[in-house]
Amino acid sequence: MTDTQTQAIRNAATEAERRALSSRLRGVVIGWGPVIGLILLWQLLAVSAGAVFFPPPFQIAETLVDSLFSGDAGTAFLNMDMLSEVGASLARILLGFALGSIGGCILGVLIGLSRQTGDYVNPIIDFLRSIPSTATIPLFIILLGGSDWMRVAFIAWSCSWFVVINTAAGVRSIEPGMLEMARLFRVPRPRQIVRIVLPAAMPQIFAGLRVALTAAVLFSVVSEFYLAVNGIGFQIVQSQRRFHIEEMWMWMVVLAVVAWGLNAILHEIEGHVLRWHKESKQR
Amino acid sequence: MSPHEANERVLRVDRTRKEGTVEVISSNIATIGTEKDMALADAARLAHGDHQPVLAVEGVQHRYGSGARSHLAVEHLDFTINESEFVSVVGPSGAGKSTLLRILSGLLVPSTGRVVFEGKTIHSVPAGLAMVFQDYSRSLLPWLTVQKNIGFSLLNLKLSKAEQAERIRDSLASVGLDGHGDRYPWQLSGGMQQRVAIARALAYRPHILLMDEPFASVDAQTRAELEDLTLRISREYKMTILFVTHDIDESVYVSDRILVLSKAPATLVADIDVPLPRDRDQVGTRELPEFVQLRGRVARLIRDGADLAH
Amino acid sequence: MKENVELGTPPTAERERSTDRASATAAPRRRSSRRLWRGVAGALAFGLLLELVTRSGLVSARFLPPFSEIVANVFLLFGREDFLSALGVTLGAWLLAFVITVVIGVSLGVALGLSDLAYRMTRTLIDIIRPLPAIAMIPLILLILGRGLETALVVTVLGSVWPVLFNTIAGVHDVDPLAKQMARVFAYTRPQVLTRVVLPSASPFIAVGIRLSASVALISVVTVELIAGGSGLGAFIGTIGATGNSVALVYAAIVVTGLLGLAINFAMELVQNRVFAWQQRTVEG
Repeated sequence: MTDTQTQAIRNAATEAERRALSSRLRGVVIGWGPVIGLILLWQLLAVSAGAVFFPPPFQIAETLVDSLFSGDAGTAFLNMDMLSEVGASLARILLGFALGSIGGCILGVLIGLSRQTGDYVNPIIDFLRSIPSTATIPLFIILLGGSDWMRVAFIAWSCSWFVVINTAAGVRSIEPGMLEMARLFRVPRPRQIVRIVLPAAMPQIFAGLRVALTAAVLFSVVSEFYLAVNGIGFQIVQSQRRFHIEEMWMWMVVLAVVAWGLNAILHEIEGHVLRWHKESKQR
Repeated sequence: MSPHEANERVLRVDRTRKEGTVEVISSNIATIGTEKDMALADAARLAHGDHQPVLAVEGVQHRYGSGARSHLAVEHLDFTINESEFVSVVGPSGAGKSTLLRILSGLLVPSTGRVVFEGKTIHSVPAGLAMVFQDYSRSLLPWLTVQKNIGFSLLNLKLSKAEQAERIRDSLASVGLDGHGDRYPWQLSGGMQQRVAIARALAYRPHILLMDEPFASVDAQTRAELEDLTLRISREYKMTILFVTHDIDESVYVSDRILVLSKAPATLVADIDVPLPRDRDQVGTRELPEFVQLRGRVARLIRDGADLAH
Repeated sequence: MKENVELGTPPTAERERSTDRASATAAPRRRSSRRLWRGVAGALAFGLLLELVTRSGLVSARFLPPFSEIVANVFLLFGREDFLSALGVTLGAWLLAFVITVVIGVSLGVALGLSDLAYRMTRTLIDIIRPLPAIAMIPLILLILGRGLETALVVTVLGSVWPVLFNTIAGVHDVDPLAKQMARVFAYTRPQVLTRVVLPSASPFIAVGIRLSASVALISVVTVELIAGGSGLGAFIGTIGATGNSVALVYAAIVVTGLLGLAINFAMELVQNRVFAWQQRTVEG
């Protein structure tokens, strides 16, 4: 190959790279442009029009940073009170989500495995999950008092239904050939469930988990609005009562960060557990 | 068994095989023959060096559903498979071959008749039996590597880790997939995936290998390779194989015996020995006049559904 | 349709899609009537079980009153003026919010879905907004709008527009471009392409989104009522829960709320079957 030819190839390669890079860049700009644009718009409007209820986002951010780092030197200047509020909510969300998911998964597998069981049990499930979960809070309070267990139980109950439905759907759609193969190799039923049913249904189960997590955050906030002594939702209501609008928005931003963070973590876990699924779909 | 004995419905029970001696334990006998007759017959068979058949299908009939809506899939089947035999089952599509395999493997209990596997009537999936399906993509587990897929058959066998590893290695080597153990099934071609399925069955060390149109989903070239692979396995391991196919050439090429089924409801049209030399070659064997004749005969049997007479 | 099952499938749709070898030979009508009887049997058995468990004292009546008592209380409730008006308020609020949601969601969704640029621009925005509960804004909206219907409407629309919006955008965006081109070849005008090709093709997605929004909307309405107080089922339950009424009454009220949810789902399904009957046929054909 001549020099000019190798040079041309090299140019083409970098040209392709450049094009790929620029299209990625364009994608990012197109995606995030509106978001940033909206925030800036809000900032502008709030500053100029001075709405009481919609403080400028930059001010909210400032309030957040100020609050977060208003602690003592001993704790790296972090506001431990604030963090403990977040922690309280997080604990409820995670515990409720875990319990609800496990319970929902088990029930979902049971329903999905046998069409007969499903026929008998599905109407009851459909009814139970049609109850707007929030309406059950007063009942949970009567039964479990005002404790954290009440809130955790409520969150678990509320988000379990999403997992039940998706798990059952995932289990029902498993290739019967796989289970037949296991029968032929005389793998006992319980082992079949653990080794075949669960892994095969995992993609659908994770779809349910994603929704359940969002629901867990939502219902945790609701429970903290209604009856709580701490937590993000509690703080939002407190700020509302004191008419501290900026503080209220600050806590809402904290909630958003928590929601995004949890979703991102779940996404990572899903990517890891379902790596085989994603890669096999690409083929 | 001759048609006679089948109609007499001899209820023979457990035969245990202990190092060459055969104990006959019989209980309910609703037959014309006496215990002594049976013992004599068995002794005579032993004297001739005949061991008990690996698989005996006796008067099997199967009807799906009941009453007016029922569907007779299998009308009457009677045959045996002996040790180390390579038997093909051919028939037109819809002949009930899949039903037959489900019955033979114990997945389905026939509405009439029984299947005797190594002397015991089976009521569910017996130990010592493995199956390879046509659709490998539906039976290989996509979240496991090739190695783990093969090891899946060993789950219920209570082997040590070392034994399991050894069997997996051996099976991989037998099917020519060494080095691919850490890949995933969906990373392999169709032919390779089918090899994994075969390796999985091999690792199980079955006494009989059932194959359900295993090469129907691969291209002709791969099919030839897999046919030779299966032949090699049958010779090396002295494996008893029951091979269901719709491909007549294939059935003549690989088997020692061919069972021809009629169209639904299935009956046995013919039970033909394949007089070709043991060493098969894709080109050479298929050129032999005996091959051509035999495949013509089987083709006519399938097309015309001639009676059990040859 | 991932979105479909993700956010919770309305009862019968998903299930009917799965196949069953054993009943493959049975006629479809027989299959579904058998299923109906099994369902009834299951429900009755469940009720019976509950009754036994509580009457025998296995579970304390303070925790779970006997099934029969709950049922009796349901009838009691329907005799109460305050309950019936609360039911009416909730139903009315839900209906209004739902209609607004569908109108906004579908029109915005179609507009965004049609333009490829708009579609790409909203992807990230949607991913960011999706995990945020609109319900978190209840205290704020309460401050701005007070305790009336407006708060319920704003919160509910904000919370339940997303399923309709996302599904509509996805459905419209994913219409086969060949189908659109073909319509152009036959000299369809742009509006005709929209109504005759794009909308019908996207309608399964839109239908699913609408059904999901319907249930989310109910939750939102009840939640606002519970927290804000005033009228409506949510507030009613909160009140009777707090004022030392029998547990059975609270259970009964919740049961009725559940029946309302079930009824809404059922109504959605009926509408879907009517309006999108053509869609069912092509699926089966």
